[in-house]
Amino acid sequence: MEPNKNKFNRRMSLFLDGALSEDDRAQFINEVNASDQNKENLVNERAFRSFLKNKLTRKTASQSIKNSIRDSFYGRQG
Amino acid sequence: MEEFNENEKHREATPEEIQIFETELMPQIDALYNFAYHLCYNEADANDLVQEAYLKAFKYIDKYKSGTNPKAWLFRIVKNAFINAYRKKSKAPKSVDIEEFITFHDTDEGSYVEHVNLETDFYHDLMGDEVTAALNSLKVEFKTVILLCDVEGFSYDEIAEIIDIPVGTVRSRLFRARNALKEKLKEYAEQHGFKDKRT
Repeated sequence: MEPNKNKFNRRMSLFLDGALSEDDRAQFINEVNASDQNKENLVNERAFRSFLKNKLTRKTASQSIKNSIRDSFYGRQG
Repeated sequence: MEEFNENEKHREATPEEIQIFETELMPQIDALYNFAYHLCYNEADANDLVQEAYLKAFKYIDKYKSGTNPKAWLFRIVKNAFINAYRKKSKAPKSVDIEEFITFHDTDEGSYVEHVNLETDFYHDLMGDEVTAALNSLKVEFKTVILLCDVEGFSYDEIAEIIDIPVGTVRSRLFRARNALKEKLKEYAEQHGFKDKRT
């Protein structure tokens, strides 16, 4: 992959993470709009992030753990 | 896991500390458990980690400033508890130190890393369990940054604080971690018979 493409992909990552400065963000958007390939890459990357967030099995703490932690906290005071 | 010693004298929590416990610490428990579960990939160990994290948080609750960032504070405690638990379990003197794995500074920002561009239809049929297994198969330092950024929505600065690495390392590690995860998802999708049309 050529260096410019690598640089674009790294900046795309920062863009989606909200880690670009306002100027860099504007410059990046211009770069995306200038190329269909860039647009497609951005769409794919955005879809990947969304897929990951939505598909990853999300576990929650059981009620017994919650009760046990509450008991530990309030039990200290007795 | 650290236990409270019954003989140890504990002062009573102040009304402010009770308020912090109920309104700032307890609301984080599900996110914290999810992080612990994915780190351990095991419910019993995740329960232990979360309990230990809260016990530590109680111990230092007088040092916590209300409204700062309870979620990041608790996640940092869980990360440290995970490292400690791993150290206790791995008794082999020459085993690789997990702290090194999580906190080493892979400052490769300028280096070339292949970006994996996956098309949506390539992986969208994968099930949650397969995505979880793919994530779990990554190196722990990769798994950690993906969980913190993509799942929990922490900023780069918060991640740097939680895992004690520079922000530049967070950036480069996330880039590499996501690419590694895409490669794994690609493998899973191919095992399910999907062929990448580009290759």
